[in-house]
Amino acid sequence: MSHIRAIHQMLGNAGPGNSISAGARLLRNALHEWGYASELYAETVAPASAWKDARHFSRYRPTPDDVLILHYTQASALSDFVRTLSCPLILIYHNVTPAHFFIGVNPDVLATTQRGLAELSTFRERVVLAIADSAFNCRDLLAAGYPQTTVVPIIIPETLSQTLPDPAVTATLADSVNLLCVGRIAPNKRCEDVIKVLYYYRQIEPAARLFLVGHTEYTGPYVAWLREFVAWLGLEDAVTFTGHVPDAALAAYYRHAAAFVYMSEHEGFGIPLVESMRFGVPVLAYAAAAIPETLDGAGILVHEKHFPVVAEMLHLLQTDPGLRTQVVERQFARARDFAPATILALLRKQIEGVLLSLGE
Amino acid sequence: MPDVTRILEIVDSALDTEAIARRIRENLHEHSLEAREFPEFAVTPPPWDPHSRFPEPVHYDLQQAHEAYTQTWVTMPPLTSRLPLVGRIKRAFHRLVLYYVNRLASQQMVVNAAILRVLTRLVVAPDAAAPDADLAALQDEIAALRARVAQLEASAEEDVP
Repeated sequence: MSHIRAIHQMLGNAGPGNSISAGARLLRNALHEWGYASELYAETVAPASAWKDARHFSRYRPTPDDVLILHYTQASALSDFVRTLSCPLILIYHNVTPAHFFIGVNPDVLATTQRGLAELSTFRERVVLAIADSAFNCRDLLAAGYPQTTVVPIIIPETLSQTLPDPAVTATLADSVNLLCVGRIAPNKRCEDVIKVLYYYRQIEPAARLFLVGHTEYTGPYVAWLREFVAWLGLEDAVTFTGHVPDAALAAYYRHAAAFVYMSEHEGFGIPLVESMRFGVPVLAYAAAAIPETLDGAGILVHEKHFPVVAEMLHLLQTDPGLRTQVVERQFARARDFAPATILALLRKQIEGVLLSLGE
Repeated sequence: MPDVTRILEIVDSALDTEAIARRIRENLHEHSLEAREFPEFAVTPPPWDPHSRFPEPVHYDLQQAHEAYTQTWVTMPPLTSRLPLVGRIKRAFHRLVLYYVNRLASQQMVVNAAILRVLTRLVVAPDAAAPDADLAALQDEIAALRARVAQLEASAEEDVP
């Protein structure tokens, strides 16, 4: 039996709308059920009352029986702090976006992503278990010299698909064929390629519109360029940058989406793909990084960015209900693989296995 | 006509992927969607090579411009104070100033990036070297024609009784 009684989690941001922290919260609740003390410590804690249960990492007081779980996405003050601690560490690696995507976009993000990958190996001596949320991410762990790695998908709570859609947003979506892309507006997401798909699709379906839902902070020059690009194509009325939206609004966008179009060229996992599958929205996604692995045969993979062909595929999905139903059914089946209970059971097996070895 | 089965992958034995591809090809023909050129966000600066029609300093300056054009973005560590209220006010003011300065900076970066993309395309465009190549080809052709004319004139003179 292990002497470990507390398993705390360290993460960058804790608050609503942050996928990693929502999963961490579920894991924390599960750890309580499994009999461990567990707290969330973060570098940035949202002021919303719902997140008063997360604390700033500087308030963490180590005890000899602690194990820490570090959710790693970039170098930060939090990762520097964790490096100063001596307790055993479980690393959950969620991927670091390659720095080159941020050249000419944001020197701060460029620096933290450069450091992020370079410093991944610095926890190696203390890590008792290195978990990647995709086989694609696992490659970074292996390259950083972690000998024992395992793949467990990220925990994605099912609350979003059960959220009532915001009626005000729903009202704006009623009269159009809505293409959706969700995620931080960043160069690796290749939002311009989704806009190009819309450009062609509008020639077939003039009522088509595109909603780019996600944070626009930190990537100002790219967002400004995208807006210019939209204007250059004459699509100002057809493309909406919503910025970050609350869950009720996001649920409305998913519920009323004709298709989810993802042209991203770097994804460590692709959480919006799972959310789309749960909402029954057909997915068309570029086959890059972890995306084929996350879809695992569901949805439609785009191997070559031939935008007229992608637009025609969208048209078929819209006009052939049988085809659409079949695609969506297969997506539902794939989405079930990511049920939080399944992922938590996988994590429990991994965590308790390593704790047992620590107790020996 | 594009090879649809290579562009799209549908892994579902319940679906006839060949029929889907055929319908897409038919629709492409019907809708007449034609591929076109679009501007790109990121352009990589070209390394200098001895065959470039531009001297090395031009490539050097272009490289420098690529590395420096984002430097208008302002970052500063947050202001601090030992008094919590003063610290909060200073940080709020600091964020506000950075917000407006960086709005301006991001617009400037868009302009810089556009100019750089144009310059880079002019330097690396495959047809940038074309005038020289065309000139050389024309000179060769003229020389060949002159030789041919001379040959014809010579043979014409020989034919004169």
